[in-house]
Amino acid sequence: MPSKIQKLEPDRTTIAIGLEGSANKLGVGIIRHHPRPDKSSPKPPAEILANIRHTYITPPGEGFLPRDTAKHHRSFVVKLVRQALKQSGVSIADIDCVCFTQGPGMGAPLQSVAIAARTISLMWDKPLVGVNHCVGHIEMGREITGATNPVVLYVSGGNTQVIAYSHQRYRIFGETLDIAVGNCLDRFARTLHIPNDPSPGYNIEQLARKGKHYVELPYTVKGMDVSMSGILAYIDGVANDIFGGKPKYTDDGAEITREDLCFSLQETIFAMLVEITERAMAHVGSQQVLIVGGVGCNERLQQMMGMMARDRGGAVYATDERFCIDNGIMIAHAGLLAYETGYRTELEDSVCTQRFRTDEVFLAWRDD
Amino acid sequence: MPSTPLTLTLPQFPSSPLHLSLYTNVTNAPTIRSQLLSGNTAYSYAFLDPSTILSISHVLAAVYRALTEREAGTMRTRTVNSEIVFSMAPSMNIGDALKRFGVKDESTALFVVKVADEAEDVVGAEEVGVALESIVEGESVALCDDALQALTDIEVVRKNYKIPQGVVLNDRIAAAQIVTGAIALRGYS
Amino acid sequence: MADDNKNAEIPLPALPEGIVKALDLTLISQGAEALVFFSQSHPFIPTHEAITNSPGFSAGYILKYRPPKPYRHALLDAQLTKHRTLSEVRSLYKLMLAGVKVPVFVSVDPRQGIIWMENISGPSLKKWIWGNEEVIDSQTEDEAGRAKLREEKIKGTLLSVGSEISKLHFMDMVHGDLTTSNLVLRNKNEGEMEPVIIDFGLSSQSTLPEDKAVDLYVLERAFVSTHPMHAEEYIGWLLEGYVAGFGRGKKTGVFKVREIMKKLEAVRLRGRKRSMVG
Repeated sequence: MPSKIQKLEPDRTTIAIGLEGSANKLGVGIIRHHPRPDKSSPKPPAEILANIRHTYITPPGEGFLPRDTAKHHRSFVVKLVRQALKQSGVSIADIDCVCFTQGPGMGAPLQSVAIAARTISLMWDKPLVGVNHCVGHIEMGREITGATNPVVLYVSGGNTQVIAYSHQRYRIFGETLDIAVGNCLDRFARTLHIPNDPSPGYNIEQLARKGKHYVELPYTVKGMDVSMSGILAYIDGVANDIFGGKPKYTDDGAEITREDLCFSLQETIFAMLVEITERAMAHVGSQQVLIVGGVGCNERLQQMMGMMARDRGGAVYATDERFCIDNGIMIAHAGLLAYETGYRTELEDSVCTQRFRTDEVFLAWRDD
Repeated sequence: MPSTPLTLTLPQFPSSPLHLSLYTNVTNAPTIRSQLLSGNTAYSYAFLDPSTILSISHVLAAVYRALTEREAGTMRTRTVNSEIVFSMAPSMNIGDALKRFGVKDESTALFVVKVADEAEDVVGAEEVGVALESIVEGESVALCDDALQALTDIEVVRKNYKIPQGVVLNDRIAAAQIVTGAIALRGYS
Repeated sequence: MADDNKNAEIPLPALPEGIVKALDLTLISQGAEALVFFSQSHPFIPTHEAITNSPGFSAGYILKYRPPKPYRHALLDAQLTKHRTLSEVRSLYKLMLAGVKVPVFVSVDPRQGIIWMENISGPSLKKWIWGNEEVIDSQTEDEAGRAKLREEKIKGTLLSVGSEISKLHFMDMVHGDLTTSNLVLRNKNEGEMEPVIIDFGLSSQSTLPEDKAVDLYVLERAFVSTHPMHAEEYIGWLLEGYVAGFGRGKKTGVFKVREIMKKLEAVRLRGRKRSMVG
C-alpha cells in the first residue's frame, strides 16, 4: 500500500539549490530528484548536479572568528552560486526552491548566507526552504550510502551527537556535555601549531598515524553522553610541558612525541564515541551506523566504528569528504525532501537560529 | 587408622580437587610452623587457624582466589598453599596475613587444605590422610560447617575483616557474604 | 525492524575457556557493554552435605562479562574493563553492607572483566505493573473502581521501591540507569514482594543533588514510556516513598531530599540535556 508520503510526492522531476555557511565552509549545491517510476518502487537515487565549496582557512594557531568568516562567505557567495549554476547546466527557470541552512551554527556566517538565499529567492521568485544543518547531514548520508535506518553519529566542529530515528523525528540519544569533538581536535591543533590547511583535523589524523605510544588520558563517558573539555585541558597541559622544555616519557622510557599525543587523543575520544554509538545501537536494536559530519572523514574513526559494528553483526556507512564536510548539496537535498511534502519557509520566518536542535524538525518525508 | 579428608572440587576448577581436613587438640603447632618456615616440602599444605574461619565456603573463597591468581600467573606468594593463606586476608600485607590466618605456635586446632592437581601434586585423599597423620599430632574431626562453627572466634573474624560492631555476624550466611566479598576485593578497594 | 535485527546471529565474544568448559552457562542478555549469563552452579561452592553455612542462592547465579572491545587500544581497553568491573562490584558490596537490597556479589576477576553475583528471580517492576494493570482492567470497567484497585494493589510496592532508591541516594550513590527494568520484585514470603535494584554498571559516587535528580528523572521518563496511562500517579507514589525514606535519615535526610526535589523540578523543565549551541 502506498504511504501518505508517496501521495504527497510530485510526479515530476524537482530541482533545488542549497546554500550552506554555518561554519567556515561556504557551500553551494544543486540537486535533482526523480519521481518514482510507479508508486510501489523505491525512490530513484538523487542526481548531484553541482557541489562546490570554498573554505575560509586561518593561519596556524588561529581559529576562525564569526565576523571574518561571515565576510568570507559574503565575498564568495555570488561567485559560488554562478559557478554551481554553470556546472549544473540547469537554468534558473528549472529550479523549484532555494534551500539554506537555518541553523545551528555561528550566527554571523549563518546570517550572511541566509541573506544571499533570501535575495536569490526574491530575484528568481522561488520559494525558500530553511534546513536544519544536522538533518542535512543525515539525509545526505542516507542518500549516498543507502543506509536505511541507521544509528547516526554526527561529529563535526560544532556538534557531537548520537541520533536514532523514531516517529518522524531524529532523536538525540547521546551528545557532548561540553565541547564538540571537532572543536576539541581543532583546539589541540592550535596548541601544537599544526596548519589549518586543508583542515586541522586532517593534519592531526596524519600525525596520529605516526604515533606509537598510547598516553593515558581521562576517559569520560556518562551514560549515553560524553565530555571532552577535561581531556583537552589535560592533553594541552602535557603538550605545553613537552614543548616548554619538560620532556615526558612512557613507562618503557620512550620520549613522548606530538605524534604520540595526536594518536592518544584520537584513540581516546574516538573510543568514547564508538562506545556511546554502540549503546544507542543496543538500545534501538539497529545494526547500521552512519557517520556524518567533518570528523566522519577520519579513517581511524571509521575503522574503529567498523570493528564495533562487525562485532554486532552489522556495518558502518560513511561518506567521503565531498559529503562529510559541510556542503551545499546536503542542504539542497534535505530541503528538497521537505519541499516535496509541501514545506515552505516564508520570508518572515527565515530568521536563522544558532540553536536549532535536531529533534525539533518534523520529518514529513519519513513514515517508517 | 588415619582418617580420610573431605574431597571437594570447586565447580569452576573441576580438575583441581581439594582435600580438606580438620584437627582439634593439636599439640605440635610450633613444630609444624617451624617446618613450614624452613621450607620442608613434606609440608606442602595450607594450614589455617580455624578460629579465623566462618565456614567451609569461607575457605573455598580463598582457594578460588588463589587458583584464579595461579591461572593468571599473578600469585603474590611462592606457592599455592601460602597463596591460599594469604587469600584469606582482606589486605595485601602477606606477612600479616600469614600471621593472622595461618598456623600459630599456640594453635590447638588446624584446618588443612591440599590442592591435588597436576600443577601441584596429584594425590588421593587417603594418601593425604596418611601423610597428615604423621605431621599433625591431634584429633581428626569429620569436617562440616557445624564442626567448624564450634571453633570460630567471631570477634577475631570481626577484627580481621574490620567489620563494624553495628553489623551483626550471628547469621553465618550473611557473615560469609561479607567475608567472601572482602576476599574477592582484596587489593582492589 | 528492531525485532528482525535482534534475531540476527551475532557472534559472541568468547569467555575464558576454563569457565566455559567447567560450567553450564546460558546467555540471557547482550548489552552494549556486557554479556550476562545464567549459571545454576556457584563458581566455587559445590553442593555437599558438609556445607550448610554457605551463601547459596536457589535462584542460581549471574556471570556478567565485559568482553574486550577490539576497536579500543589494548591499554585503554584493559584499563576501562578493570575500572568498570571494579566500580560496579564496589558499589554492590558497599550497598550490601549498608543493607540496601541489591544482588549479593560472589566474586570478581577485574582483569577478565568478570563479575559473579546472585541471580534475582522475580518480575521486573515493568512486567509486574503490566500484569497488575491487566488484572485490574479485567475486574472492572469503571475508572473510579480501577483507580481504587490500583491504589490497593500497586501503591504499596511503589512506596517501597521509592524507599529503596532513597537508601541508595542517601549513601551518595547514583545508579546511572534507573529504569523499571532494573527494579526487580523478589518474592519474600507469602506473596510479599521486596524490591531489589539491579545493574550497577553505570553507577557512581556523587554528593551532588543534581546527579540524584537525573537518576529520578531517567526513571520518570521510563515510567512515561512504559506505563503512559498512569505514569503520573505511579511516579507520585514512588516519590512519596522516596521522600519518606529520606525522612528516616533525620535532619540531614530531610535537607538532602529537599535539595534533590528542587533539582528534579529544574531537570524536568530543561530535560536531561543542556540546550545546544551550534
